[in-house]
Parts: sequence; C-alpha cells; structure tokens
Amino acid sequence: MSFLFKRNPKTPQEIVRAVNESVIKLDSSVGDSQKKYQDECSRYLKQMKVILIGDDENAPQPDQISYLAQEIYSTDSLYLLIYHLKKLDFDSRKDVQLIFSNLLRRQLANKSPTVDYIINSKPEIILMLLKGPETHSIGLISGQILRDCLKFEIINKFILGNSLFWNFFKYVQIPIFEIATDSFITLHDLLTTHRKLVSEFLNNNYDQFVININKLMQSSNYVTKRQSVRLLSEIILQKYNQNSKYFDEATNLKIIMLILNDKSKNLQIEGFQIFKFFIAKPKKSQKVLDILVKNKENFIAFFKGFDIESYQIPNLVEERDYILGKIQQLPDIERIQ
Amino acid sequence: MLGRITSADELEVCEEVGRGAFGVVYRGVVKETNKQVAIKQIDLESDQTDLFEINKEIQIISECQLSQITQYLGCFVKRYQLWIIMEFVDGGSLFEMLRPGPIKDETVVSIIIKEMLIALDYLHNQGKIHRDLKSQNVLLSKQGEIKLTDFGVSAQLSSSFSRRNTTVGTPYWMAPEVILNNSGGHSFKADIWSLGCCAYEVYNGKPPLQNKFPPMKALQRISSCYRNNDFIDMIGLSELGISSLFNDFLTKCFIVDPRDRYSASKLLNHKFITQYDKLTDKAKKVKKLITNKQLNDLENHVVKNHNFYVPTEIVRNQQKWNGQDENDNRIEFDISSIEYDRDSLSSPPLESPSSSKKSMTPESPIEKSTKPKDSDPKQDVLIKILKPEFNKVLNKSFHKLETRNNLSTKEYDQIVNLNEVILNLVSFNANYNDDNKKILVFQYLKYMLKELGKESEPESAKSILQKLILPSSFSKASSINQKDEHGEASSNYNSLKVSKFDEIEKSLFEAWVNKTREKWA
Repeated sequence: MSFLFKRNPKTPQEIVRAVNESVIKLDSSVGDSQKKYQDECSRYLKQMKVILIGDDENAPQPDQISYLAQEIYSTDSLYLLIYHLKKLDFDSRKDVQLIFSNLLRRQLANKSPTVDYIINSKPEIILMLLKGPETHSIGLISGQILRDCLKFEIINKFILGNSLFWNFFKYVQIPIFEIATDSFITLHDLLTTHRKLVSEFLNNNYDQFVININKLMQSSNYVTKRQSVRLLSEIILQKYNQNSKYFDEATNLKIIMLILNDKSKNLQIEGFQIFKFFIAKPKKSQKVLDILVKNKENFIAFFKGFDIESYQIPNLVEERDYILGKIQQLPDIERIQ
Repeated sequence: MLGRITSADELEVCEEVGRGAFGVVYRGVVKETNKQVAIKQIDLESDQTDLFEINKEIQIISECQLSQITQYLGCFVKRYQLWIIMEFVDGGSLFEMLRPGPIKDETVVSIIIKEMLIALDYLHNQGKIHRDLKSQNVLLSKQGEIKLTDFGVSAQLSSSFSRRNTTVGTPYWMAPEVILNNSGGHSFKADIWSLGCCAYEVYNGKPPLQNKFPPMKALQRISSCYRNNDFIDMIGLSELGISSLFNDFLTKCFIVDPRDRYSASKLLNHKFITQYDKLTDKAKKVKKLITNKQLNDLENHVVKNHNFYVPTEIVRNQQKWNGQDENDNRIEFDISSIEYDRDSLSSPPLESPSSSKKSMTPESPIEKSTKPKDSDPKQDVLIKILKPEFNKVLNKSFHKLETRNNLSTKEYDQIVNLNEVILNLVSFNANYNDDNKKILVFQYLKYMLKELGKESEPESAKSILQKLILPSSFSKASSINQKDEHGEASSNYNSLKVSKFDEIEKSLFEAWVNKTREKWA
C-alpha cells in the first residue's frame, strides 16, 4: 500500500474528506462514473485501513489514528459510509466493516469515543444497520458491524428499546439462508450478551417476546426451529429469567412437547433443556399440572426411551433420570371411558 | 452475485466427488444453465455440528470473490441437511496431480504457489485464515486455473486439535505454533508454513517428514523446532537438489517465529515467484499436469467408483444416525387433541417403521399388484397408453408418502391396497369400462373434499374432519376438556361434541385444512 502514499501523499484528515466526497458522488452517478467513484472509495478506504491497523511496512501511529478518528466523527463519515454501503464495491464493504469495528474498539480513558459519538450524535447509524437484513447484498456486513456495536451495553440497550428490534423475528425467516442465520446470530447476541439488561427487557416485554419465539419454534424449517429452541433455552438458563411466568402457561408447555415429539434427536434434547424447568418448578400452575398429569404415562414411556448417553452433554443423563423420577411422582388420573 | 442457487429443485445431483467427516460432496448440474457445481451436504443432525459455527463459516466463504478461490453460489436447508453450493473445478486436486510422480519442474511449482499466494494474500487482508492448506485443498481447472478450496466449513470444523489428529496426513502441514497452540492459536502466518509444506510436497511428492515419521511423531518433531534451522535440517532441505531461490523461498516459509515469517504479500515479491512473471504459457503447463494425471490413471486403471446420489439414502442415514430404536421413543403426547400439519413438517409422527421393509422398497408396488391385468385381452389401446401414465402418478404419490413418512409394513401394505382400489375404481379394469362410472368416481371424490373443506359451516365440517383425522385423540380429549370446563365430568356427554380448540390448535388445524383444500382446488 505504501506506493499510494508516495504518489498521493495525504494526511488522515484529507483522506477522510476525500472518501466522504467520493461516497456522496456515488448517489448521482451510474455506470462508468459510478465505477470511478467506487474505485476512489476503495483506494481511500484502504488508506484508512493502513492508518488504523498498519501493514507490512508501516506500524500504526497513535497520533495519526487520533487525527483520523476525530475527522471521521466531525464529518459523520461513518454515517455516510453506512448509508452508501450497498453502493460500494464488494471488497470495500468489508473494509468499512474492518474500519468500523477497529474504531469501536479504540479506547480513551476506558471509554470508546466511537460509541459515545454514535449514541449521542448519530444513532441513525444503528437504525440503518438494523434494517440491513432487508438488503441481501449488505445483510452480512451490516450484521457483523451491528454485533460489534452491541458488545457495548449502551448500544444494546438502545436497540432493544427500538421497535426495529422486533423485525429480527421476521428476518430470521428470510428464505436466503445466510441472511436468516446471520440475523439469528444477531438476535442471539442481542438477547444473551448483557444479561441483566436483557432480563429487565424480557420482564417488560414478556408477552411480545413469547409470542414471537413460540412462532419461531413452530416453524416448518428445521434450522429455524432448532435455533429458536436453543435461543430460548439459553435465555432460560440465565438465572435472572427462571422465575418467569413462561412456565405457568399451558401453550408454552404444549409447544415444548411438540418439540420433544420431533423426530430430530437434537431438537428433542434442546426441547428437554426447556421442558425440565416445567417439571422442576416447585409451584406449577393448574393448567400446566393438568397437562403433565394427563400425559404422565406418555412421559414415562418417552423418557425411558430417551436415549442420550452418546451425546456427552454434561449432567444430561442425571437430569433425565431426575425428571423421570419427578414425573413418576405425579398423581394418576382416572380416565373416563 | 451470478447464478445464486436457493433450492434443491434447481439442481440435478450427480456422482460423489469427495467425502469428509461432515458430509459428502457431489457434482451437480444446474438444470437451467447446465453449469456444473459442487454440492456439499452437511448433516445437521449429527451430534457434533454446531449451527452457529457453520453459520460463521458460511459467512466466510460467502465473503470471498476471487478467481483463485472456489466461488460460493448459495446454500439452503433440505430436511436435516445443509447444502452448500460451490463452483465446480473440473481438473482435480493438486494431490491427484502428484499421483504420476512429484513435479520436478520448478517453473510449475512456482506457478502453482504464486496462485496460492494470491489467494492467501486476499484472505489474510480480510483477516481470514485458511487453516487447512494442503494439496487436497488446491484444485485445478481444465482451463489451467488454480483455486483454493475447502477453507471455512470443513477447515474450521476440523480445527480443534483432537479432530485434526484423526485426519491422517494433515499434521504434516501444521506450523509449530499451531501444534503448541502458542500466541493465541492460529495466526495467518500458520498458513504460510503450510504453504511451504505444500511447495515441498509438490516437488517431493510427499509433505515434509511423511516418509520419516508417523503423524503423531511428526507433530512432536515439528513442535520441538526452536531455531529456524531445526526444521530445515530435519527435513533435509539442502539434499533436496532444488535451486537456491526455491531453497530461500522455503526457508522464509519455515521461519519458526510467526512474527518473523514472511507474509503472503512479501512472498509474492520473492524472486522465486517473480522470476516467471513474464511466462506466457502458464495455463498450458498446468493443463499438462491434468493430462499427465489422466494418462497415468488410464495406464494404472485407476477407476473412480461412481457413487451416485440417492435421495432415500438420507432417510436411511437419518435412521442410522439416530439409532435404530429412535422411533420407539416417539410417544404421541396427548395435548388436548393438538395435532399439527403433517405436511408442513419434515418428519410426520408415524409409528415404528420396520427397517427391514424399508430397505427392500420395491421399485414399483403398483406395477406389481396390477400385473395380472396386463394380460387381459379386452383392454383397448387408449387404456394401454393411459394405464402406465396413471400408474406413474400413483407410484409417484406413493413414493412421496413413503419417503416423507417412515411407513410401517402394515401402513405400506394398506397404501398398496388403496392404490389398487383406486386403480380399479378409475376403471383401467375391463369390468368397469364405462366412462360414466369413471366420471362418477371423480365427481364423488370432488364433492366429498369440497364438503369437508366447506367454509360456510366451519363447525360441523371441521369437527367431522377432526374426528376423521384424529380419531384416537378424540374421546380422551373431549372427556378431559369437559372435566376442565365444568369441574366435573358429565357422564352422558354428547359424543359428537368435539373439544374446543385453543388458539394454536385452531391455527394448526386451519393450516392443514387450507393446505388440503389448495391441493385439491
């Protein structure tokens, strides 16, 4: 990359301004001239990358990085780049991602100035990223940037507070596999990274969350089903969420029973990881108890044949036996013939 | 992205071209364009697969667009399998090219290594690491292109140390820091070490140390290298008889400290690589390797066993993976008559298929059962033409049912019988050679389905349907439901009254009704 510097010497501030100008021109141009501006952007982005992370010959210089970052904040360069993301060429988009996450990680006095900038000056950046899965060509890149952002609790909180968050329950069902799974990873990270925050959020939005996750767990797509059951069980495993009224509702139990009844062993096991809480909960609601009692013999037959020794999941066998014991203690009912 | 493939329907699956720990690779043809593709099928139900890991890997491969890397063309889920569609490279792997013997022409070695370096430089610039560079993962096209493949999915999945050990051969390409798990595991410089091993392998026929030590021993020896000359002496580089430029190139790849080891971009400027830059017949030299290999295969009667893709194999594998007794677990829970749309699920809940029956699935059960009628002299020409056609329809529906549901022997026989009855009904049998009767049968079927799916009287129609479909859950459900509602069971409840659906049950059931209606519309 060094030859670029020799031929085209530029300060960090100049590079940022140059990339801003080229990126804006992408708006009004088509065909060859658009290609020209794409190439310009690509070149400047590579220069920015070198300043931030260096290359074979150049180690990154803290003062240069600082100039670059200042200029990026003051000219809303990140906003411009994300706004025009789909107009950049394939490899430049990845450079934007590298630059973005590098800036996020940069710390001054234990704080990320980039995070402060985004939250206080340009939260629109996050909103744009949240809509990323809607555009196939930039879905994965936006997803990666978004996940880098949500590592910071304040941004995660901002996202959960925005109604766009709920779109992710739709995005995970997009027929394009990569986009759907990428959205799932984002959804997963949003709901598992900052536990206390998420627990609060789930308490306040319990109904909406359960309706959405239940819908996913009834999907006909094996992957959607498996990932959503897994996500739910991960959320439940966090101790903040275990007293939830989720375990009192008959609908939820029924859905989990459908999962247990699935032919996929993996789904059965994931389902069991949730089901066990229904059984283990000391005070069960009447509706839940009714279903459990009604199916007592079915459960016993099921768990006797629930062959999981080969899966090597810690405690799984013990848990199964414990749950089986609990089920055997349930009262019998008289069947009306 | 050109030619994205989003479903199995777009593809014709041909013979197997490779097999790894996580699935099988097939050659495929895109029906519309006749373009060849490689289809990698990963079994998502096998117990080690982590969906999130696989997702990450797909992201990595989907982010690479370079002519030196096999192109990603899309992926999708089919039942319990993930199909990853990649560009098909038709010449074979570099490993196969070495079958006739090592490549002693350093020009050719340099040509191949340069293309690999371009690919690595691209990956490394994006912060990606291949992790499993070896001659099996370098492919040649009949146009003379060199392409890296198989990073991502397989590489990442097999990157854990224990799993690598089971892959015979791979340890020979490993850098010392990878074995020792130093410096936070893999850095991209580990790829450079492996690249050096590949270059050595191309010239020598075998990777370093393979002739001297078994894999585990080799790992120990590689990890015991502390000074730069340790490895070079160990592999006897000076006795290899290579040019001093090639020797120097390898020395730069085998620098023990990854920080000092050359990067891909630096190696691209190495004289061993640049000296042949102006060569014009590079592609020709590569093509010659393929010709040599093919000739050699012919002479030595290397016959590839062509294993063709058989869709039902998935079903059988599924059983194998889940264990034979898996189906014994399948308990029909009583969830107040909740049932779900059988069609929309990939695994409908039918009990205990007998595996012995499955394995001997006859080609065409209908053909068999109707054979005697073929000899009937009274059949006219039209029937002769139509009968096989209709047979096809019946057989097709039968196979669909059979592959989707693990039919038990009894169910299997029942359906065969049903098919026979249908066949008789539509009067390919001479006894019913009356057009009116045929029409009557179809009219009757039509009315019946219409009546069942009627919107105007949802309650009665649905309750009949529900009973028809769910007879077993009916009596239990209604009794318990009554108990719930009135606190005590009424002894003489109306047996026709069906328990009320709750919200999910209703939607599930409605989905079923709608789907059925659509199909018959």
